[in-house]
Amino acid sequence: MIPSDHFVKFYNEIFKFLERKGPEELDRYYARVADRQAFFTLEAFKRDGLKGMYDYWERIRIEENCDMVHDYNEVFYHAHMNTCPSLSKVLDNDAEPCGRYCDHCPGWVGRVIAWAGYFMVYDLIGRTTPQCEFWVFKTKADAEAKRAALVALRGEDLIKTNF
Amino acid sequence: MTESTDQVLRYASGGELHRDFHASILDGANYVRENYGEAALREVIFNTGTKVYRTLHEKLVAGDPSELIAWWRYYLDREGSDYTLAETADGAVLTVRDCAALKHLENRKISGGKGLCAATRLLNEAFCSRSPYEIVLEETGDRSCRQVLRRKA
Repeated sequence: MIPSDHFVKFYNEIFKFLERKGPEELDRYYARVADRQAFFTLEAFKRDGLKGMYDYWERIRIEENCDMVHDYNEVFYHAHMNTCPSLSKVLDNDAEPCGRYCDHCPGWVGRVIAWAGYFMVYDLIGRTTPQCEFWVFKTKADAEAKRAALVALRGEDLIKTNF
Repeated sequence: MTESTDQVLRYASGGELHRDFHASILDGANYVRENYGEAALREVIFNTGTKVYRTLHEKLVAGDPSELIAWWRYYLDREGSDYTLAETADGAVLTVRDCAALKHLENRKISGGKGLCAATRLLNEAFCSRSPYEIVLEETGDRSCRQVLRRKA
């Protein structure tokens, strides 16, 4: 049995395998992960909106031992990961980290958020730094404004959206 | 505490558990097999068993099963499996009466949990590759198994 604690190290091995097959193969897998994660999230996201997202990531914050702060208001949900346990485990690893490890998170989250009818803007901050930040907006206009501000700060590559 | 659990594990995770990762492991393995074939899944799990768990693997290659035994004990305890683990003259016998991973999948109404047993067989093969050991896994029930670590004949 691979312990649940070590799933992310197995995930990292899958990502490296897929990356060798071609970058589009990683994106195809994110779509599959989104489909599966929808099982755990989509109904609540649709039913409870931004509060449903808060409730889901609050459970993740606890169960995955995340050092993160998050909140929501009438306009958006926002999460700031101070120390991501997932990338931290992949970096604390005798096997090599996948260079695009962080991309899986916006890869699946963005799809599920879109299915729920919301707009995600994700700031990876850096792919070797276990920190990130993302917002989910009710309106595309608000999301586009956030994206523009972040792209001006970090450039296109580290800012991911679902629109 | 036995001698085996005194061994230092390379990764001794603590804190809370996110048990839904068992579903993610199952689906990741299924995805690789369905899209790239059994050999691809074997490759991914081989890399997991020999590179991620490099120290555990290298000790087995050197004839030392202590880290594997400690790893079994630590994570079966941590996940809450019902099991016994007996060290033998040439290895160990792990008897899992109620597997925590399979129990969680059942609670979540996720089918196909036996795919985790197939992945465990591949991981065991990877652990033991180039070593004097083998692990024979026998499924003894819906959520139970017996894994015998022994020196190859």
